[in-house]
Amino acid sequence: MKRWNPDFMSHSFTARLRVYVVGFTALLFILAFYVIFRFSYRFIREEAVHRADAQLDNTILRIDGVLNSVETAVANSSWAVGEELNKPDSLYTLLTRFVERNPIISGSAVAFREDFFRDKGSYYSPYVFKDANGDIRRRQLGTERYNYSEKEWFSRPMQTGKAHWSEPYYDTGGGEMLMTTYSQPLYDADHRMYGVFTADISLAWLTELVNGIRPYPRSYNLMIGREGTYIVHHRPERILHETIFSATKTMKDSTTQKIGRDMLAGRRGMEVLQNDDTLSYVFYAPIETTGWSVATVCPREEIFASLDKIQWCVVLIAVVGLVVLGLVCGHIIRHILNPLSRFAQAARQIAGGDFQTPLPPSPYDDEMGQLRDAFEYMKRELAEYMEELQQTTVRKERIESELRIASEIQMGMIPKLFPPFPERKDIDLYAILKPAKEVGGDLYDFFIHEEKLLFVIGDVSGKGIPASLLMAVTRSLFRTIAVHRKTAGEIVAALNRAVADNNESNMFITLFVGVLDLASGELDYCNAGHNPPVFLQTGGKPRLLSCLPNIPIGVFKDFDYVAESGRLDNGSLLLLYTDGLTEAENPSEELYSVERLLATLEGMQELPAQEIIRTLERSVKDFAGEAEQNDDLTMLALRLKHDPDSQEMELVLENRLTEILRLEDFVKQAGQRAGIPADETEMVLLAVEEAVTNVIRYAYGDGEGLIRLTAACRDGNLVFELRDSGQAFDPTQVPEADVTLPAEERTPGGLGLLLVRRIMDEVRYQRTDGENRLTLVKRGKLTS
Amino acid sequence: MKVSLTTNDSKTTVRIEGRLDTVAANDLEQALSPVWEQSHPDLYLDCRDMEYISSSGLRVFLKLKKYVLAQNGRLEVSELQPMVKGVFEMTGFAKLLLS
Repeated sequence: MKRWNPDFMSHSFTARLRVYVVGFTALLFILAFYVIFRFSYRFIREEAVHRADAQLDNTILRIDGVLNSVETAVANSSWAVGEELNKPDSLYTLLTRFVERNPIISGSAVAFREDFFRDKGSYYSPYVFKDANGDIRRRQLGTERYNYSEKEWFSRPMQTGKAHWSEPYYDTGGGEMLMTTYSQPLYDADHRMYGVFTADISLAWLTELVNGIRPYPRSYNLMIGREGTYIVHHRPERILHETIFSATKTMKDSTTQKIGRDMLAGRRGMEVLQNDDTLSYVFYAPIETTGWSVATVCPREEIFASLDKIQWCVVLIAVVGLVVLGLVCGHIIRHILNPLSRFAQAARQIAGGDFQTPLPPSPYDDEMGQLRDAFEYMKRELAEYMEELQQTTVRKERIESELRIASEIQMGMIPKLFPPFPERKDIDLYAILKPAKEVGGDLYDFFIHEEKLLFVIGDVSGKGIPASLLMAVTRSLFRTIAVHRKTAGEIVAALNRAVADNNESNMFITLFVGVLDLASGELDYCNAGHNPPVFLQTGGKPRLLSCLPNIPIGVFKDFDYVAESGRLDNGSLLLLYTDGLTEAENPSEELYSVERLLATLEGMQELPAQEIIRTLERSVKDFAGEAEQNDDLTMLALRLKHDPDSQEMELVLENRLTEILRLEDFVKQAGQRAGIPADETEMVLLAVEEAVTNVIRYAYGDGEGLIRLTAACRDGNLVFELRDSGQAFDPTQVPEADVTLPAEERTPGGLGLLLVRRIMDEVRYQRTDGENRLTLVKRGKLTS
Repeated sequence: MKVSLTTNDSKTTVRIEGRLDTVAANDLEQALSPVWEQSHPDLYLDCRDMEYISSSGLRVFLKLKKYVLAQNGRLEVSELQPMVKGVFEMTGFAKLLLS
């Protein structure tokens, strides 16, 4: 974990908060700017369109006004031409008056159809115009060289029968200026067209008028004729020489072509045009009278100049504002957090055990003040708690140490050294006791008394110290009582009486007591309310030993406990346990159960007792998993295991001395099995030979008879039994020969018996069923 | 058991080899028959290769000792094997024959 560093914390906290505040504000700014600029842009654009349209309209209106005045003047004067048809020369006077009256008109003519006046030539057209000095001059236009009937100003109205404005042209004869001519057809009384009445006007004013459109300082204008020819353009060399299409052919943006087409079609509109590096807005509108079209081109940056200026201004203010905000924010947060880092330092000192640490002052009753109060409270509570904890710990440690000692004492009571009888190869016994707490109420015990194994397993009701005390009492009682009682039933009954007396705490104990005859395997047992043991027979399935349950001891003083008997065959195993095994729980509260126990034991008949118990211990541990052991667990496995080598040997002899030769091999074999050294066996052979010789010589007199000699290894001792059915004779009653006598006084008799007694450790005689039974015992090394 | 008697300058050496058990004791007694006719017998019992002795054997030895004592003869016993020596000590024969 990262070390808690107050400086780091406040810095990072300040930085984070600063980033959040500044970031959020910046976001708001951006959003607001976007909306404002969006609306401003639209507004300015609309305003630009509006302004350009207004100027265009105004200009077109003024142009129309001029053109209309010309049309009106022509219309008003054309009737006079009809009055003067019989005096063709007087037309000059009419035209002169007409030009004089209309200063805008620079020239006017009446052109007649071919051969209208025979005497005036084929083409007659009087023409009056102002020269460069403003003087009025006259001329006859129609000559043989100048056939005006081909000219647009004459042919168009003659063909259509309608008045017509010509495309602008350069007047090369008179004013050297851009001109246009208005031609109106003339009709006679029979409505036959006989000529046209024309008025020339200079377009200088038009250029001036069009260039007067100036919505923006750097905008420029242009005007095109019906064919697309430039009439007005800011580059004079283009006027009449280029069309809008030829001039913009090389431009990348094809918008101009579209603009040109729209203008020729007489539409009005607005387009955005990319020309070189500048973006321009083009507004255009038609002059419907003549079919011309006017356009004004405004650079985008001029239209939006104010917006751009404001934009930069606002961005600058925003950036400066955000920087200032960030600085102020950091300063304020640091100022606020300053006490926090001092709190942190104080908290660490408190955690280190210094409860006297002063807390930083907090003059206001704000959050910081509340934090200070909480800290103060925590400090006080901690100090009290620590003191209490210390006392509790001392008490707890004392109890724990006493419990530990109690546990050691209790465990010291039960036999814990395995194998318990190392010299006895015929007993395979193993047991464990695992208390759930320091001390437990389970017990087991066993000991050998007069070739019988007495064993007990038990479970005291309840747990902990009371149970452990009763367990200790029961175990001591068992040791004392068991040696004085012959059967399991008696032992249990005596234990019951002892425990039931003065049982004021009403505790009880379930017990299983067994008395096993080690020689025969006869088992005498009594079950006092305990779990029935498992019986594992060689070659059979594990099964529960059938037993009467009786009742636990300590309940009824005079309960009549019923004992039972059975037999533990060589190799069979008896497993005793307490309910800590079968009632062990796993985390899902299922019990280990007898069924699982029997299943686990399946196939384990041949395993040693220790291995069986260790396997069961593991099995129950795996089963319980994470679950806590809540009851003492005790198991005791017991098996009788007569070694085939230690089985009894038998030799049957006839009562002839030569039979003695058969003894050597027999005794040596028995000695070897009993683990007796060769030199000692030699002496044992001598003793046996003497005993047998005695029987051969005296038992049957002169008659014949058999002598049975058996040898067995019991408890590590070599035991010979010599039986004959001859005359009763107790060799143990024969007084011992005196070995201290000199040779002369010594008799040959008694030497054999002397040797027998000296060599063997035990000589017993018994006369039963008409048989002499002489038992000779040679103790093994371990028992002697 | 194997018994051999050799007489050299009136001194008779009785050499006993193997196991002197009850059955062999009878054989030994018979084999010693020449000795029972000697007066002032001078006997040397060579028991160095005798591995075993039973009370019957001891009886023959006692009989021999008694005869030698009665005839004022001499009886000398060789070194004994441990088993035999043990039996001699148990029965007091060590004092009887070896001293």
